[in-house]
Amino acid sequence: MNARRLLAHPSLTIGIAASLLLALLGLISLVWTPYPIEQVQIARRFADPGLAHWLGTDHLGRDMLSLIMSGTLTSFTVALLAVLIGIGIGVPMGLAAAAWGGAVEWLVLRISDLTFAFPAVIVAILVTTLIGPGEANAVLAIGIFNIPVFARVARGGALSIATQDYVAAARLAGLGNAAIAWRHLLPNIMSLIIVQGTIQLSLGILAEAGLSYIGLGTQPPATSLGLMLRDAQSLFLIHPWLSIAPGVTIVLIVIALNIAGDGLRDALDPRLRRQELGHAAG
Amino acid sequence: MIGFALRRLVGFAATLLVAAAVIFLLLDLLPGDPARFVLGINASEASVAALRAQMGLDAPAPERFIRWVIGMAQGDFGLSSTQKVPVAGLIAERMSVTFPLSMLAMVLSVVVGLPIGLLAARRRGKAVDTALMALAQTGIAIPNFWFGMLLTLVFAVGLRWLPPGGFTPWGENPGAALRALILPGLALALPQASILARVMRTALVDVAEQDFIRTARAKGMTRDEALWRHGVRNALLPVLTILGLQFAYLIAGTIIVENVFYLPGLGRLIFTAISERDLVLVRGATIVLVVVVTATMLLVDLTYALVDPRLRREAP
Amino acid sequence: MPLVEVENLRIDFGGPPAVDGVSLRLEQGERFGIIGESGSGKSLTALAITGLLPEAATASGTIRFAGNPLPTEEKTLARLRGRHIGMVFQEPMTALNPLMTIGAQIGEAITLVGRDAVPTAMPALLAEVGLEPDHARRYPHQLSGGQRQRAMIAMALAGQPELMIADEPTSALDVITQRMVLDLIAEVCRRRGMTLLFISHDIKAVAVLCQRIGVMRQGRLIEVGDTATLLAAPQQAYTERLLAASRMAPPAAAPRRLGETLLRVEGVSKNYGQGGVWPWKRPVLQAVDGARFEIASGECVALVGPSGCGKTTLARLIVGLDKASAGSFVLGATRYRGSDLPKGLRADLSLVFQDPFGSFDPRRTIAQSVAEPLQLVNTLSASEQQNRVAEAVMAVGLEPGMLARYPHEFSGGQRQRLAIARALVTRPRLVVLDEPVSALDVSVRGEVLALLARLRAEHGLTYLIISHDLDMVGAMADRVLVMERGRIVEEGRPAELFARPRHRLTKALMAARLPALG
Repeated sequence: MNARRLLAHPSLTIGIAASLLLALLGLISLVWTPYPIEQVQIARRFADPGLAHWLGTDHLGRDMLSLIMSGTLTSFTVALLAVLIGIGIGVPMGLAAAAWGGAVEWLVLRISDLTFAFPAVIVAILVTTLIGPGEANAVLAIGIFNIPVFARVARGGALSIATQDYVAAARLAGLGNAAIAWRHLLPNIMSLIIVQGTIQLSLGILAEAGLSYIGLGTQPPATSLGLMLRDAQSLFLIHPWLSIAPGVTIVLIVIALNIAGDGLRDALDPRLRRQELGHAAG
Repeated sequence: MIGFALRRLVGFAATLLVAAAVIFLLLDLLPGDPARFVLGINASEASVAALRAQMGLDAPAPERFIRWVIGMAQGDFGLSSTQKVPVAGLIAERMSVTFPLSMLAMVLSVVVGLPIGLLAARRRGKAVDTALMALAQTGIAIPNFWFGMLLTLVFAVGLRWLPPGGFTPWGENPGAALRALILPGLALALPQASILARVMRTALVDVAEQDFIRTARAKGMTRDEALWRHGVRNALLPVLTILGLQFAYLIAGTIIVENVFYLPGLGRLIFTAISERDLVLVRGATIVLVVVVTATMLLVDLTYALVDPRLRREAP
Repeated sequence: MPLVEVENLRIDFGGPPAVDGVSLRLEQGERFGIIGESGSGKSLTALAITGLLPEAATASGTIRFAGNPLPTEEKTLARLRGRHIGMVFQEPMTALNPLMTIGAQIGEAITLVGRDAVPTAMPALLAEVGLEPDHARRYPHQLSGGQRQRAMIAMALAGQPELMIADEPTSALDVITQRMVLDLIAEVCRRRGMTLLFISHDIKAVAVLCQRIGVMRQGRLIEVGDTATLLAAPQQAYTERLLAASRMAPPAAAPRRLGETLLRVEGVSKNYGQGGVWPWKRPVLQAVDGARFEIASGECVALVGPSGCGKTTLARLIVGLDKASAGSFVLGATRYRGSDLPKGLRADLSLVFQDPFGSFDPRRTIAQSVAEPLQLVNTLSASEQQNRVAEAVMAVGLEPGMLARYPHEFSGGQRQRLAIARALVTRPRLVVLDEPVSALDVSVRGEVLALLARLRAEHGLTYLIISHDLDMVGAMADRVLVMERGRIVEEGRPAELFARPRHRLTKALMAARLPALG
């Protein structure tokens, strides 16, 4: 991916730049926030945005900007870990199904079907009942649902490649299924995986927000954008600002990621659009 | 076609069975004695033991599993540990809110999303297309529950057209019940409609490049006519697939959105059950959700085969 | 008044013109053919006449139909197309809507013209193209390639058009079906007195059907003339090259010295179970049925037959990509059934694929791809491997310096040469070639075939060629095997077989052959 290609696709540049910027915002919160997020100052609560607090304060007097920065970090972390779980387990599964076929494929498809029956919320419910709520819960729930998504994408992509003559040529050259999957299938589906990865990342951010909102995800004293919305729930009729700031942040992050994903798809391979339809939007 | 349907049904039943086993196993792992939970901390050992025997808790796990499954097949989902009433009844009561809400959201998203996608595809590359897709892009990014909050602010608090929350049972006042579902339905429908619009557009744009569209034009149709008469039907295939997948998300979303509007649906039932450790209720509600999701996918698969003759494999 | 007049047509996609300054005239009732290779712009010219150019194309120049310029308003143009011009395209599978029955699609064509003129009734239309009324209720995937093309022709005729444009209508079909479709088009044009614009890269087909021929090259119409005159005395060097490439001369009659039997095929069968509900009631597809023959070392044997006859399946079994259900092969002294071919022997067998565009991994350099089969010969050091690769590439007439490039940087002909290089790198004894030149442009085919002949002589290779192209087979093979539905039905030397076919299928194949160019 050289600079010229990047410039040829403005949406890609904008998307990636915006996403990185927002992620950076979150990362910075690891070392510095305008105010420490645990700092509760009841006297200063519900402050309007101003010089002291750029985005105002919440019902406990905590600085909104700091909360949002830290919350962004949590959202990105959870979503990223969940995507890694999905790719790490789903892609080998899908490749194996395409390369070996037969019983392996059958098993992978059945496991996929099964996992599709358990949307992230349901998994989160079960896990919470078992071990209680928390960030790990969210990562697990979202990650588990990512697995069949990536397995489908990997399998679909690999299948359309597996019928190409060069795969047969590799087989003739004595390569076994594993070698073929590694050497020929994987590199040729990389672009598909990357594009799906950005999609699942944005979906993961939305999912994390939802889970935290209903109390199954991030728990206090940690913060996340969804948790901020949960806190704002009971008050939003009187203090709508508390819900607007985190909500808008979520919207911005997801739009940035989606634009980056679209741009990536167009830049890497316009033919991917066709495959998008088979498994778009999760 | 029959063969195809039969195979799918068998797969459906198998998936459900395995899912039920997974749920059962997971919840079985929990420490704690349900019988003691029911009777209270101070109950005597004897009465706890008696209740255990009565509840069949001493039997080995496979036996309990089978009894549970058979019970469900007969409509018996057990008794709620906390509320001491049949779980089936509780769930049915709550489903009367959750199910219509999901359906309403589904219908709204299709009715709004598909025409927008069609319009954008017809005017591909023009300002209308860019504007609509930008709108869709935003719509996907908005968390449905947050949108619900915003809708409440505008329509319930600001304009006072609709209630901000709560629900009157269907039996009492169907009109009010429906009005209570409008805002949550809209909140759920927004991201779904946006996704459908995008998928519809992409599908149509792809179909427009297919050879049979050129054939249709060669026969004497204009571009629009060819797209409408040949393109839409073919484009609906991938849209159908997405619809099925999205339903799982819709159900999840419904549970969450109920929270915003204080609707007495399945979601709030489950969350209360979790916090009160009412395992029987959690188990029953979870399996119901799984059944609904899986059944929808089955329906989509069958509809797909109905629409696409290539899948039916009949002898010519 | 000519039916179609094209003056100075120029089409471009924002860059260099794809069609440049093309002018031609079609008189009523005339049959005009355009020959050219891929990229010559012949299809675009046809699309321009009907107003079906892709959106990205800009066209300039004038096109007149029946004296009037083509309408610019879309609906009028569309209706004119439907009523006066019938088009038949190349790929009948993708040109038909998979979700509608044939009858519905043909019916649509009839209804579209119903308002302005008296349409042909459906049963008459079906009968005219040789389809049964029952076929109307079927979907495209339930019909054969030939039947689909007949349906396309029916759709084109629905409005009683004056002009028929056929753009490569037979390229995707096998020999017998090709002939059938060509005959049908000729018959239909004659009976209805239609003007025909026939576009193809197959010169023999054009020569049979058309009275006048135009030759297009890289967007320009370089020569136009009567068929007889053009074939006898072409004015342009390019035309002459094309004609020469189509006239494939049989080899010198001197018999080659053959060695002992290299490969024996002993009663090989292969069947596939097709999806049904119950595993024991599944209908079985017999792809190969008791095939039995021998190939001697140094021989060139060709396997011909209609599509679906099992020749490709058999080839895949021989090289070890699949396993026979019954019977076995004997290579030298080793018996095997297909994929159980021992690794040590795999180096002795190679396969050259049909499609040069799919046979190389787009993400790997040519060097890596050509070297891949050397896995089978693990006695070579790294530098020895490099030498082998360079040697193979030079043997096919290319430079070793090109090895670091990627597949998309080469032309189709070059890629096929590289595929041959890859097949030779393990120094095999038997090379199986699956339609080695069918996917290549006509002018390039001759070179590749000459290369194959030379390599065979130089290295003492044995070839098994799978093909449907009888002319190529006649020029290359020592012996021909004819296959039908999995069985070998006839065998013999090409000259013998072509002159005196015995089996029904062979006779049909010979009858379907287009006459040689004068």
